Amino acid sequence: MNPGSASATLPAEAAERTSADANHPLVALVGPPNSGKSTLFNNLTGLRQKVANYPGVTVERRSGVADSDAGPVEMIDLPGVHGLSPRSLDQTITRNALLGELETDRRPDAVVLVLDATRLRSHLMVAEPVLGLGLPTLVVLTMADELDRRDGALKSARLSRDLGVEVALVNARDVGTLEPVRRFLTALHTGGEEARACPIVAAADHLEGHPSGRSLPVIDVFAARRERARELGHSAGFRAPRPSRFTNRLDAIVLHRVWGPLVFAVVVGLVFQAIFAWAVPLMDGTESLIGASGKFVTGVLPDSWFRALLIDGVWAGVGSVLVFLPQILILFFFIAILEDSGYMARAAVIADRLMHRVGLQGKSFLPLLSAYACAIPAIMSARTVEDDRDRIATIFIAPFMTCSARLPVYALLIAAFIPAGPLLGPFLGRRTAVLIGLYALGLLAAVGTAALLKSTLLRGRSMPFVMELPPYRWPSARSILARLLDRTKVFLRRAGKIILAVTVVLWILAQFPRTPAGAPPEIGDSALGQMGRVIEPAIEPLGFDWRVGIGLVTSLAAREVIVGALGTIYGVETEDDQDFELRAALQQDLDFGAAVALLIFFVFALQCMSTVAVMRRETGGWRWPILQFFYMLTLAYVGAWAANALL
Amino acid sequence: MKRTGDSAPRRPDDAQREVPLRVLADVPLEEEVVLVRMDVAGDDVVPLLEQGIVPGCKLCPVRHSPAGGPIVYRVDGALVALRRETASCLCVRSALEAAGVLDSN
Repeated sequence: MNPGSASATLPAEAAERTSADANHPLVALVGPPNSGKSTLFNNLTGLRQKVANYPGVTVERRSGVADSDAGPVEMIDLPGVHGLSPRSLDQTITRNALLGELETDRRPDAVVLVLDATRLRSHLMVAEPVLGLGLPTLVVLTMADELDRRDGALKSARLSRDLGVEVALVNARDVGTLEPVRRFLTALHTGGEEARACPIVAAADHLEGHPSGRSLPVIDVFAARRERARELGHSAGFRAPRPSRFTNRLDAIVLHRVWGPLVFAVVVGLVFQAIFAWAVPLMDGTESLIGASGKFVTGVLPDSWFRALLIDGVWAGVGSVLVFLPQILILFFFIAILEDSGYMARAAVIADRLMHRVGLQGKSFLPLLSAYACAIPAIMSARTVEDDRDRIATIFIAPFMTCSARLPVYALLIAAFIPAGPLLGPFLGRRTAVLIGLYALGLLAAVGTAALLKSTLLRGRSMPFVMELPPYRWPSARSILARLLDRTKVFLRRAGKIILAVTVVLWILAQFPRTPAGAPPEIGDSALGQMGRVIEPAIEPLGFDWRVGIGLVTSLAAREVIVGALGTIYGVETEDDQDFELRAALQQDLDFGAAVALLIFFVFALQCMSTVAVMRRETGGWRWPILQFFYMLTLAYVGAWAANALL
Repeated sequence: MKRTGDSAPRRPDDAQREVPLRVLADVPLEEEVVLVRMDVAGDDVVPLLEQGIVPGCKLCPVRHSPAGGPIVYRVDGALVALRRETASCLCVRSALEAAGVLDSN
């Protein structure tokens, strides 16, 4: 893209970014997954990072500013890729970013190509298409410490001579070894000779479907590239490191036929325990903070419609979502540790057999585990599943997993309708058993749906399951912190917008039409109440009345909204006793069958507009979200009807 | 099914020395083999190629995962897990036997 000529057509945010950063050199970090690229990016930019999405897709654009001796340098961390062909979304984005064909970015001024020195021969296969772009390039070989420790060897100066560009052998985690990278960044300002392009570009130019050239059979492209990589490695005196003893010993336990599944079960159990038990004090604290700040604002502002909108609408609505932030952060903390340590890839291998039986694959495990906290990050993380059919199936079943937004609803209804008491002595209480049952029902629906999809709409041959198992490493605190900050920003932006809009609309609907005296109407007479009465005939067979109907309509935006909405509808005002009074009101209004029906409805229905929106983006259209919404609604309706009829 | 690799014409003496190919899934643990042919259809071969699993590369099965799950192979210094059914589409020859027939790593 030529920024000068195209800026008039850019989205405002992108145009602003382009012009603001145009003075600094733009450097793209490129490299295969697990090469240490993101660690290098974190160490070069510190926490001065921005995370956004590339337009129209959910591939994240991570950018930041690194310092050099001659001034700042804008850096973008491109998705990890094995090549530049447009075979996957990540590769397409990386290729377009490097060619300057993205709306949001100008063409990079230089490239830092990050390769794992311990895997030199296969990682050098990426070098050819990247060097072929003709941009000033620094090849950074990471894991220098690992190469040394495991008796590997490499003459980086020799490789630099053969490639025609600077080559730096570093340890991406050790800032002290990154001096050559800083020199390269400085040279971009000063025009130093470190910042030079590969002189031999012709050989790579036609590979991998470059628009200017003819395409070769894919196997020949890779075979030629591998041969060249082998020659380069040989010339640079590359001696492959011996296998890691630490990884070998740990794998002997983690992938053991008996211990492996046990370790897996303990890890999954630990994550669940953290999400559902350890997160509670933090969630309670957040809730108190939101309540206290709401009271403070109430006290400061004069009594007016604006205060009512701010407190009853915005504070209550957005607060109901903010409460889940600690839980989601704890989940991402564990996911970051599991991924950075190398265990997640092993978990995917262990889960693969089981997932394969229902037509999925091991890579679906991480998204589905994430879905127990929230379907939105789960659907986004399904990008790691390369097979398109498996990815769609994973996205489709993720909302069946019991997300944390269902918990407040389950907690309210179980406390109201299931008497406390032991079921299996001291081991299992009745209420816990019902909760476990609801989780199991969701899981069962997910498994059944996956099997159904893979034998009908998504039938076909799956791509081979190929999973690289990185060596075990200690996760770095900086990298985990950077990811948690990313996640917080993304969650707040995404969840905040929709919940804010819905709660404001609901609040307005509950305020009109005004009474002759100009006061807000009774909830039953409000526009919201009238909507409830319109849908009442449809939900009567489920045992619900118009009040629950309004709750269901409001919960279409987000499940947990129903608790606040029912509180408003039943006129429960006393905050301290809110739960208790709401329980009593529900006990009067619903019989046991209807209460179970409501629980079943929540197990199955897709009441989360943010999920629908994310799904539309991830699947590239409305077809799948619409199908999923009505499929889940049908299951919910039939299930609730059956429960009400039978109980 | 498209066959890839192993396309170079053989000399008669090579053919005499040649031992039958095996599939990767049948190779015992810790035996190093050389990939000769990939019987993988169409673009399905790409994820394998991207991991450096290209005709001529050395592979060594190092671990079976629990309950008949994927097998872990050492490829070019990395560990890569493949399902048994995928490994059954990869034709290999013992690294020692292949030394005289194919260019090895």
